Amino acid sequence: MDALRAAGLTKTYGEGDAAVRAVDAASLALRAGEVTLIMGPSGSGKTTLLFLLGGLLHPTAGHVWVNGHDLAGLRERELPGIRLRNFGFVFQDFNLLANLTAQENVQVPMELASVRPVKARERAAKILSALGLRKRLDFLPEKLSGGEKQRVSIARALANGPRVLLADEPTANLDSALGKTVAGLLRRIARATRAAVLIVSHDSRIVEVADRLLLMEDGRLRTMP
Amino acid sequence: MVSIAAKNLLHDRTRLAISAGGVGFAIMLVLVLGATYDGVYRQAGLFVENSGADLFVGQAGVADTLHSFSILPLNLTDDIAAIPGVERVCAIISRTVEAHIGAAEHPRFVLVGYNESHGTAAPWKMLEGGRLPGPGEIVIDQVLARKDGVSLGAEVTLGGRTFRVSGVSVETNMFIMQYAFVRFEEIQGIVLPPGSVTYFLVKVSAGYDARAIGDEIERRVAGVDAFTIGELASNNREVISGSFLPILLVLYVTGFVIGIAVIGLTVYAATMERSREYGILKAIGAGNRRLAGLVLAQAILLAVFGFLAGLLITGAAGLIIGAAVPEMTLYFTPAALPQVFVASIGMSIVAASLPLGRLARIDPASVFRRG
Repeated sequence: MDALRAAGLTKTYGEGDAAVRAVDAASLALRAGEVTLIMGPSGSGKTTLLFLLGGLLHPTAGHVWVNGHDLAGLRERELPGIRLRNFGFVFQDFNLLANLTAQENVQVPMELASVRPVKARERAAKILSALGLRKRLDFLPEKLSGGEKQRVSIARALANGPRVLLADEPTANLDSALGKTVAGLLRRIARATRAAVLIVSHDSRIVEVADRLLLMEDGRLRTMP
Repeated sequence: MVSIAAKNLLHDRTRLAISAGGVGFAIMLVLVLGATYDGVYRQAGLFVENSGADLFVGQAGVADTLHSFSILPLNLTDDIAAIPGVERVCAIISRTVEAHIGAAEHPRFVLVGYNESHGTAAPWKMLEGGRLPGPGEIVIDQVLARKDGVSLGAEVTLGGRTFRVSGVSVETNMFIMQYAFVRFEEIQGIVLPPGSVTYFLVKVSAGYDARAIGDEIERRVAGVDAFTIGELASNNREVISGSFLPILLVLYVTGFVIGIAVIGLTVYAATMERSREYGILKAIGAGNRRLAGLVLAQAILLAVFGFLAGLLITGAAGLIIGAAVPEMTLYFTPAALPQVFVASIGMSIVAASLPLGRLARIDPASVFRRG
């Protein structure tokens, strides 16, 4: 079952002779419970594609369907709510809120989705514990290691039970062993939660966790054997 | 979401303390100005309200006891007393004078020659000593006593006569001038020409309407105006409103602008400093309205901290002002605190609107860019 479908996705910056086509008619489907890995050199357009798929950027042409919504047809102010309920984001730089503890960081998306604070607190503790961070609930990000920060970031992405988990270079700031651990964790999450996981990465070491591998070159998406 | 606002504010405690102190000073300024105005406004009518009379009769054209000067012949007493409904008439003298205390002090104050038969226009509240000065005695206001170092038993010289301080009164300070009281007959012919008085204070018989009697006095006695206590106290207070209010309004607005500026600057700096975090929240799924709520929560929290700091600073300022400028009577009305609290929340709402434009322009995709 497709958790997300995109067809003819195009993003062009500039006009006329100066126009640059960052994403060129990309089409893909992300299936529930699967890990899709998009690889490609810097500047190939893979991060722009991730923005388009996650409703962070409006396409110049094409469509993205998720949970019955075509993101391309939605107004700017409708997109945050769609992101909140359908997507989880994992960032390369973790992007945790510095003044909040690990548990509070995970509570944030739930509170944005109007989950009662007590329930959000319980669920945050449960997710973090499942990711091996039971003893780090009250730690501020500055007290956590890189691997722990990335696990908190993943826990936050899982908070509202997303259909699609979008991870941008999730292993880039981690050493080899930790990178593999985090990649393996994303695969287990895809299997356990039936979320479609899309990883955008340079890191060839995580190819083994992917169910499907796509290559991005000059804005064009190709399927790898 | 409120916890994020609180934690963002509490994260840098030094900045929070400075900002709350700045807001607190603005609130103190507003509270003290308000209390000064309310103090002077209240005091302006107290002498009239506590005179023990129902009507004040003064020279025609004199509408208040503060900056108008009334002089009437004493022999009008019988004319007024003859009007039906007048129970009694007491002549009093009220005149700004310069006295001599010791060799150096020459204070100016409003000297009231009260009517000793009925205690009319006598001091009404005492700090110490007797309320009604006897022959050769004077009761002075406590601010006057403090300013000039005068205590019970001290001697005050007026127009060549010496009086012994027999009491110190309170609520008789008018900010720019204070009251002192002696017996009427002791200053007749000293501060006014012989046979002259300032006002006639009329007590109306039971069952008569004071305003109607006042009208009758004006009709029957030439060259006088009669005011009920309420009218004259109100006229006095209008003098204060007219002269103080425009200045105070300017200072009030200044206080609010300072408060808005401090809250606005702090919230703006905190928002810009954390624009990446706002970008993260946007990427996760917070709309501009939720982020605006977050900024507003920070501004309101800062206003609450500032308000509490303002109360402490106002308390300290009150003590300092009381010691340094005793004639400044601060009167905090019960409504002042809730009004200023609501105003400080209003300041925070205005201040919170400053960074909203920048907030709306934060690109959620920017958080994916490195570093």
